[in-house]
Amino acid sequence: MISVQKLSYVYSPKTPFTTQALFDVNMRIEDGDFFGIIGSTGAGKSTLVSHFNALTRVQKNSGTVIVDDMDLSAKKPDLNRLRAKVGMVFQYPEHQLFDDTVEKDVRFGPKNLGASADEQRALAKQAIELVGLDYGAVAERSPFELSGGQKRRVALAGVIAMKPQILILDEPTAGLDPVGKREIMELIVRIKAVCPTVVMISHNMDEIASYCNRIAVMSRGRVIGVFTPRELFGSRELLADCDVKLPLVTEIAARLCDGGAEIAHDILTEDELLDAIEKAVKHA
Amino acid sequence: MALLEFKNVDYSYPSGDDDFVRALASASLAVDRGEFVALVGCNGSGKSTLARLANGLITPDGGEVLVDGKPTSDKSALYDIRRKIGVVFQNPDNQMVTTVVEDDIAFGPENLGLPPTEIRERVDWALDCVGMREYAKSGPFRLSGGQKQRIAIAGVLAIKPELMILDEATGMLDPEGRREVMNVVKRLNRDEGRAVVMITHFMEEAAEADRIIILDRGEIVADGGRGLFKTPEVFTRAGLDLPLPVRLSVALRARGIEVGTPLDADEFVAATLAAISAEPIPPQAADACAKPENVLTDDVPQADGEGDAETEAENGGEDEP
Repeated sequence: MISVQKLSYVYSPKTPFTTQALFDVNMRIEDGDFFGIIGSTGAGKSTLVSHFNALTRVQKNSGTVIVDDMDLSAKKPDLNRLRAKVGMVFQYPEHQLFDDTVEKDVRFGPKNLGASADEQRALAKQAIELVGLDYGAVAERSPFELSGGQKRRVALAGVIAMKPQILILDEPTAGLDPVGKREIMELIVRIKAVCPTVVMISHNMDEIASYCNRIAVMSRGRVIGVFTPRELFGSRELLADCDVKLPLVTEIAARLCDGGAEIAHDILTEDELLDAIEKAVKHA
Repeated sequence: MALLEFKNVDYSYPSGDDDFVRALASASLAVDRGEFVALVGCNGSGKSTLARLANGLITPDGGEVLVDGKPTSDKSALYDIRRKIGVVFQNPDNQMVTTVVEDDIAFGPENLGLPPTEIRERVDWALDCVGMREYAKSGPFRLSGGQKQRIAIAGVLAIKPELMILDEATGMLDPEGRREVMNVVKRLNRDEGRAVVMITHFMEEAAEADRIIILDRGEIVADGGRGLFKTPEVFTRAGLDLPLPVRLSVALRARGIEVGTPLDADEFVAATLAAISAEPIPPQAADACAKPENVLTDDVPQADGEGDAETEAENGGEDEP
């Protein structure tokens, strides 16, 4: 569980470059959520989630962030325990690969958390297999020789190896080709079986609509609201208020509906749309 | 003379000890003034290598890259070449050179030796184009990933190159931001006649270009107009998706419903409504795709008339997860 109350954040306070990135943010992420965060560039999404594993510390008198039983606004939260619990995957995580073999790179996290050499090996193997790579084939290779999609999997494995209970993903599919995007999303669903809570920042409304059960909409440092996909994408008023674009699938469904077809206007996936069109054609 | 020309270009990157990875193999293409080209392909297909070769950041192992007829291997021509060809790369962090946004954007025009008033005008104009005027005095490193990307794009806009290459430069932007950048680029192309090569994974964006080049493992496998979408297998074989409206139309065809090959949401909605009310498909939707030109792979079936129904149905099957 992550609970955020009245959280504000200011970059470079008391300098000419001071900018307030967050204003009085409140939200609660429950165990088991696939929680989406959307909003235009500069809305404060990355600043917000970087609080969740205390990479960004809660500033004085600027609200609270609570992860399970840990108060991150306390003076000295137990950072080791927190970072074992909350795994963070940044934008373009493959830029952070550094070691000379895939196995060593993935072991780095467990090693820092104090795991024994045997445990490190076992955790690395499990994680590499979970992200869909062939352990025998890649373990001793340099991560830098792998393809873009594979590198991203290795970077994910490095976080998974720490066995987090909450996984934070900042635009996990940015920069991948369409096939790579789909593979990573399928992989995240597999990971969710062992790491029950997933928080994902994304600009891809199709991914948000297909995978998330709850969605927070951010704008200019504020959370405008938290909705289910059907609440958000099914309500044109809400979308207009929140300045959110429809997933293309939903937009097409809505326009078919407007055009007089017997098709629901709040369709969220391609399969739903295809089924609805087929039904409408056969019906007519 | 073509503005940019690749003649049988080979390029390999060193990998491991004595090994090489081939990034481009005898690639040939020409881009003329005023063209709007989408360059698509999987991660690792050689797209970024092509962008780096185009403005002489790297030079070919074999063949030639010519800008206005001058080879990029001629060092004395590089200044001129980079004035004509501006590239926006994927990672904006590697493209910031100063500590204030507007200085960063002024860097290019200053290097061109323009008078201060014109530099001022261009900086303001470029900032307006990407919707970042209010950040003119900010420090670029305080901006979010997407905002930095906008600044990197503005930096190249301010040089007003004859050809702009955007190498997945909108990957970090929100849908609205992507739309804005696309509109700016289209406006530059249409009103000022500047050529654009858009390297993208967003097939909906590719469908807006006049010409599409597909790269697959270092080889150019197709180069043609929007009619290329009539043969979806050219895209799927290169590991690419189709734009959503095309993908839906292929899947509907597999279910026995014919809506033609619509390239955008408007065409798809019109054709589908027509199919539902069992009226003939409006001609503009059905004719949206001309016959494909220049499909370079021999075994791709040509989409004469309605094409090979069996292949298309088969392909629709592959698209299912």
